Amino acid sequence: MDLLNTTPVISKNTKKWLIALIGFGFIAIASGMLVTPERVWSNILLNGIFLTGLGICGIMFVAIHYVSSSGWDVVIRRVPEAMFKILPFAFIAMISIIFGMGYLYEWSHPEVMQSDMLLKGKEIWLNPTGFMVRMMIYFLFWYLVGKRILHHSGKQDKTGNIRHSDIARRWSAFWLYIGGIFFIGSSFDWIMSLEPHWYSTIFGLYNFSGMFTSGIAMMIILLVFLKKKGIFGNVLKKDHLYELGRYLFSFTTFWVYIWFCQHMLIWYANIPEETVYYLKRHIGVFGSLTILNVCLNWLFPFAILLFRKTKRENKYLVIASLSVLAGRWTDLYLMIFPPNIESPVFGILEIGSFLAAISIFIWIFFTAFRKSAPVPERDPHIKESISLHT
Amino acid sequence: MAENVLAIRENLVIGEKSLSNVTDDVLGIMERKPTGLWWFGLFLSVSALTLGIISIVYQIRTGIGTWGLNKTVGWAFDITNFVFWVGIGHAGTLISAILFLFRQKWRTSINRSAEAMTIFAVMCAGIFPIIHMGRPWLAYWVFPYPNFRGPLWINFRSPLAWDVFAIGTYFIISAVFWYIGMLPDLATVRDRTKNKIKKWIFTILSFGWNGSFRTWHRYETAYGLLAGLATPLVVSVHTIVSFDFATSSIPGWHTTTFPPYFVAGAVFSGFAMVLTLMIITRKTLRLEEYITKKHIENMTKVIILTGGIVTLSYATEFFIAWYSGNGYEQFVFLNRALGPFSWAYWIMISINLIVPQFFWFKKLRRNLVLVFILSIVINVGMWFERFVIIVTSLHRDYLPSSWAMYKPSLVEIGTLIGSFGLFFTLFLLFIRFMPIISIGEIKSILSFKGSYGGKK
Repeated sequence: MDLLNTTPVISKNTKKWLIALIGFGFIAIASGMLVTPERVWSNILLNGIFLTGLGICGIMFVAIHYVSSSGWDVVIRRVPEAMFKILPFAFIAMISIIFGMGYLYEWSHPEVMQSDMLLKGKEIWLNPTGFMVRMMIYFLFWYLVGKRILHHSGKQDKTGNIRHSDIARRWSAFWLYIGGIFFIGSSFDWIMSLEPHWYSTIFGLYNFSGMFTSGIAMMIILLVFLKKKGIFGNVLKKDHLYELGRYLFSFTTFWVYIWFCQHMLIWYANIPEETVYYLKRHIGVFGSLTILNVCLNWLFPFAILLFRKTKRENKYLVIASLSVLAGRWTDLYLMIFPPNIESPVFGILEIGSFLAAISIFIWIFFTAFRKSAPVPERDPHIKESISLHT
Repeated sequence: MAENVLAIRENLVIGEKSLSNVTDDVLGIMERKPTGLWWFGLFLSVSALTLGIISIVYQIRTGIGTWGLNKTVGWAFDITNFVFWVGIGHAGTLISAILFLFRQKWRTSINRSAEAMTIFAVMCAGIFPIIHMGRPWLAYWVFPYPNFRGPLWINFRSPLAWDVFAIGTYFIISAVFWYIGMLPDLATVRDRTKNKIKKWIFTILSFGWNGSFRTWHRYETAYGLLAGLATPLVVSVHTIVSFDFATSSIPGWHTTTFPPYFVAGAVFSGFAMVLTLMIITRKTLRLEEYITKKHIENMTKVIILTGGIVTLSYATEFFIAWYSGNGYEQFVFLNRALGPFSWAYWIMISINLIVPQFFWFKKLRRNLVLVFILSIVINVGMWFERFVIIVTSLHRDYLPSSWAMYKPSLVEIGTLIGSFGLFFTLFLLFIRFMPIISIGEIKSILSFKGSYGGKK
């Protein structure tokens, strides 16, 4: 195979830019800390969850395809594998929340807990120690079990032994079963408890749908970029991107389905304890953002990707993916900001911290991607994947 | 290249079939005389159906006061059966539409009969709400035809009216999808038969199919479009059914996760029913070479997935009931687990949580006796899930003075048995008179290792 083009993907010049953006983000965060700490912590939480989501989507994508014995995805598998490597860095962002808990989570103040009967009942779950311990368990599981899958995928490159696929498949099933439960738990912990009185059973699934959709969007953008750079030679074909386009199309629709279920059931039953969540997000600028959220996450990508032709054109795929990524940010913003920030804010802090997060992701991704062969050449399904024809 | 793919992928049709073998094997079932076993099955089913018809006639003549309902428990057996049958009806279109879009070739052996099963199950489901209307001869009032009845109009804001449209649409699209998929095979029956009457019937049924390039092209376009249309319908039907409960403000019913949880539960029970039917069908009709252990194994894997989602939903509901701090919500869940209906709750939990775990092991997935038993057990568990959701949320309401118990009357049990009778009668007739495996699609996945003429 003539695909091992080993030139580095990011040039020195790009690296300088990335460092500048990361620096810019950190300066914005540091100076913001002095003025509006609750806004800074909201941003850190948002970006931490965003980065965690990219990592989780990476390993989940790999695991799903192992478990279902798919063949078509082998050519692109190293991209989600490298995305997974962001998890430890996302963990640093998330663990730093311990210093900002007081600004984000009402329940972290003992005096509030004592004076509020409802919150008092939740104390066993909503307390800083439990929050941190659970976060560590989540990340340890996601990362360590994920590493086992990647270990066997990498080992197969050297030995070509089909057994590695079988072992990776078992680890994948384990990851999906337990890791999925942990993801639901993490959504309740990190986001839903920002408004500790409010609850929704679908919330974990809602966050999952947004996470997975945005991860696929990121994967498409990275693949289009890598293909342009000639990394994949002629092994990566339009057909693979078409399959990912179908993925994106169906998951944006899945996202709006879950969004609609939560919204519609809370609106229809009209129980004050529940509607309070949407009341805040239906007025003023937050209200407009709620509409924008649906447009970015579903309407635009759905309209763009509805046709077979557009799913086969890199240009349209990238536009739809960018829309979904912007949508993910908006979605997280709408989940995280209204509880603690009175009126909507958008400025250097939001832009800076998001650019820094993206830059860190790009840096880690390309470093990780270069460490192994761009295509798992000795996977038993490799020929099936290369000859994919849709 | 081809060898490389085949080496790690199991063949979906075994026995090195040639094209003509496939046609002979599938249509041979229709051309042979029915076996004694088939007559016995038909006898049992028609008996059950008769019992159902007697019960239905009796309760319509007398009124639905013959049911075990009371003021507190206004929904029980009938709605449980309705949700149960709609759920069964999910696997067919999932197999035929969603797996078609996923390009899952293993669907070809089972899609035809799974779709037929879907249609029959939806027919069974329809019985219950229609009787529950109380005056079933006015059932047509649910349709929005031009209104001559004064200011009365259908309550479009009620999820019960949405049900009519969701299930009606689903039934029509599933039936069309099933029928269009059958056209090429119906034409094959037409061309093979020497019986004049049969030829005449199948000439009409096959819509003048001539097998030309153009016909096939149109057919495949229509099939793809219908698959795209049917896919959101698979999800929408049980979503709307779950809205019947979740849009209310009754603790235990109103929970946002109901729509996806109901859909997963429906697919779970639907696949269990497909397994039950397919394991019998392949054995009695000697279709082991078409419906292989690989097919059974794939379906059990879907059961692990959907069973996992269902279990996760139970856990989430219980957790959030506690987390909400809402006393009524907490009471309903504790009452489910410890109250007078706790036996039903623990049947549901133990079955739906434990049974799918058997399928983690390849040995057990390929043990057909075990899979067959477990598939029936799962359907029992899923029936109890609906019973638990409906009855335990109602029987102890906000007013303790009106707390009540529920016991199904004989009439209700008779109707349930009758619905099974209807289902199996239709299915048995289907496997006699229609090509139960999609011949055209099976031919497209043959490995062509056999000689052209095949073994005779």
